[in-house]
Amino acid sequence: MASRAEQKALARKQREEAERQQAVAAARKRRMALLGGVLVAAVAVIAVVIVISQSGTDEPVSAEEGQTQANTLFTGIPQTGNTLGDPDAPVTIEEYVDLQCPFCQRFSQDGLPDLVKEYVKTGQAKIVLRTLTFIGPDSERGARVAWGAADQNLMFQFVENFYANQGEENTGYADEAFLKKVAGGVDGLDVTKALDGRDSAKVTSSIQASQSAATKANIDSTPSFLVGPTDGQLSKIETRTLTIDDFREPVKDALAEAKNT
Amino acid sequence: MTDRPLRVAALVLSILGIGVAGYLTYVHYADISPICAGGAGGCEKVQASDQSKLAGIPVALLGLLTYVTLLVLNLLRGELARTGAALVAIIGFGFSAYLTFESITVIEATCQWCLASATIMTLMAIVTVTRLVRFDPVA
Repeated sequence: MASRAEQKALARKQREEAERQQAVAAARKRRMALLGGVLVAAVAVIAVVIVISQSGTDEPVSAEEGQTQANTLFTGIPQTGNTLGDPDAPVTIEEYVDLQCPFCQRFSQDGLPDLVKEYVKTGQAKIVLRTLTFIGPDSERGARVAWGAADQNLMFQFVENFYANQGEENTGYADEAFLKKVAGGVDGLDVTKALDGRDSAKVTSSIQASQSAATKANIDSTPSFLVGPTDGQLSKIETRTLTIDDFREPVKDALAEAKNT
Repeated sequence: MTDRPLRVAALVLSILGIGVAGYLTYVHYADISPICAGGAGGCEKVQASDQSKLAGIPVALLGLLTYVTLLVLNLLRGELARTGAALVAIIGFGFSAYLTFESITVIEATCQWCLASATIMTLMAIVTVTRLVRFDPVA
């Protein structure tokens, strides 16, 4: 039988153990509360950072500015179907776009105006536009009217105005009213004719031809560009900035190649 | 298990992060192309995107400052430093996850350096949170 002193020591030991366990439980609870506070604070900061990040992105030009650009940028430049510029220009730039693609819109703002002024207006290059429709049904609805506009040699203006009014991808925004509005914003375009022509075999064939050309050139994203001497071998170029800087070297090389042939 | 291995891991991750973010910051200010396996197109597209800046400040520079802060906090001892490190790492992890999502869905290009940084920040969040909840100086 344990002595009184031993019983006292045991009781003290049990009390100390209970206190220790209480302290551990309290510490755990405190750490969990701390973690909860950290998580709440982190989520709040992340939310603010994301809002700043999204509001800091470059705002596209307004629909009005885009429409003005669409109607003025190509003034005085020959346009036949999906080709902009002198048909006999020594260099050909093939541009593959999806009308829903935000980077295609960005190129139309940041790169196309300089490209047109520097190389197309000067007769050094022509641009051949090819429409892909991989993003979704809105892409195809837009592309069909673009080819309808190509029949009136106003495809580039329509595409520019589409970008100026571009909506959220695959939300069904490219409906009849939208397409009429975009087409109606293009000076000189017969809207009814462009819309009526969109389901023609010719338009379907043009869209299929664009896709086939993209497949042949291993193009799987937009915008993509092929550059080379007209009637020669076109090569895919790296797009780093989506400005004219991406084109200077390839066009220079293609001009030199065209001169030597 | 003591806190030491996790603290060392956090310090190593901080230094790796400084290396990656430092390189991307250098590339940004030197206006040169980052070295990327399989061509620099993806890295350049990401670097040139709207998402590469936050309120006009290059994200690469913000990443560098974040890793330097984490290095300092992980060098310091005490609960306050560990709490701060966990907070900064979780914020870094959340923002990295957002940027990776944007990279894939909006920019439609990925940069190996950015993915490396996102991986480092994910590991850092795991390590710092573990340090915070598992080790109590008063226990």
